[in-house]
Amino acid sequence: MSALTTASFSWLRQLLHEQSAIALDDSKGYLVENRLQPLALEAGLPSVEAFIDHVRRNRADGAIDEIIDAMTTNETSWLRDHHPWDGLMSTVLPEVMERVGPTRPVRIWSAACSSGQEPYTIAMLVREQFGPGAPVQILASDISEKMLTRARTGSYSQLEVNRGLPAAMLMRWFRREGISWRVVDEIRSMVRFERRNLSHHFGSMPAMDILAMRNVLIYFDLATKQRILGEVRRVIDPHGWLMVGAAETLLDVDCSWKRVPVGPSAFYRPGASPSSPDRRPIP
Amino acid sequence: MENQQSDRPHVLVVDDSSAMRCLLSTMLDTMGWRVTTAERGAEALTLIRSNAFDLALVDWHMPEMSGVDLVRTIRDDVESGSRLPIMMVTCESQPDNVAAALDAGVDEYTTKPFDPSTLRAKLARLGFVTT
Repeated sequence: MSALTTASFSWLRQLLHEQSAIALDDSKGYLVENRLQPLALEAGLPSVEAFIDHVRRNRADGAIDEIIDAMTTNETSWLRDHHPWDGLMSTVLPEVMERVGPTRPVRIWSAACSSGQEPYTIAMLVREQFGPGAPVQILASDISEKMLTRARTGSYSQLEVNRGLPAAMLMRWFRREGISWRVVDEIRSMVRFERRNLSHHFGSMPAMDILAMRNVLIYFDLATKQRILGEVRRVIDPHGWLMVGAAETLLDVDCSWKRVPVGPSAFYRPGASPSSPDRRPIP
Repeated sequence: MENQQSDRPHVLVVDDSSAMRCLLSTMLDTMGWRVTTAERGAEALTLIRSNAFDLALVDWHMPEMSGVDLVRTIRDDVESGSRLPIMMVTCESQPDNVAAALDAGVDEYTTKPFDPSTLRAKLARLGFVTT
């Protein structure tokens, strides 16, 4: 049972919403305790309540960033839910490549990439199916600079590579470094990592052909989800593809997206926008 | 009860450690599998030749016959189970070990320790949907 006071939980909830738009409901006290306990220990404080009290009084930016990192960092794994990746490689990516042709590279964005398993998964699959020099650019973003720094190293523990990564891919695309495994340079060079907060305006960016936003929208309230999907619509190519988590649906959020089954999975493509059908992303 | 058991996919767990056999049996039973265990490679081969297994989980280091040798023998035996999906479950984590196991014919490889979600993910890769 959470030992947090209502006041501390409310303060944290508001902070999280202001900084990242993530919505924390009343039942998530245990999550706050779990996530912030290590920070409290590191600060030499006896409890999460004492830690929050300390941060509230001192308002140190560094501590705020650490809290946001701790609350927003989520577990990820390789080829998570595996069917969507089969669908990506068998149907979605070939369709995009054929349509885009040789005029420009295919642009893929892995949004909320955490420690990098998803964008590296995409890079490995692309490399395996389409060979070296495949015209694909992969952008990977996350709100946490700490996670991005980690992701850029491409280094993972034995436990982490065990999670969903086929042994054959491990042998092909990783090298052992001490007790860790590191993604080979060829794959790491296919991914560009950037810090982005999805609850903020996306700014100008080239049209994205494939956008993976998996198991992310679930953390936001309805209004924020709709705002984010509005931004996604703005930056995705009109013929682009959106991937969400295996258990997620957009139909109760924004029914203007077309649900397209691909094998056992589903992808979404921009349908006619109800408010602005002629919107185009910056080419 | 017997009908319900026979509806479940059948896995053979081969490990000389009784604790590991117990742990894997519990995990797999919870995930909807019918589990048979063997302590040695020779026992495993006898079971494979007389039962229809959907999957085998094999430890590496066992007395008399190593897990890798067991896998090679299974793959060489056309009658019994040359195409039985096999996952090696071992504490060996060096690239040479993984490569050797893949060469011997394992379909997947996971290192100990692991948690149920890791096992589920690996089983999913092999095409098995777990409860």
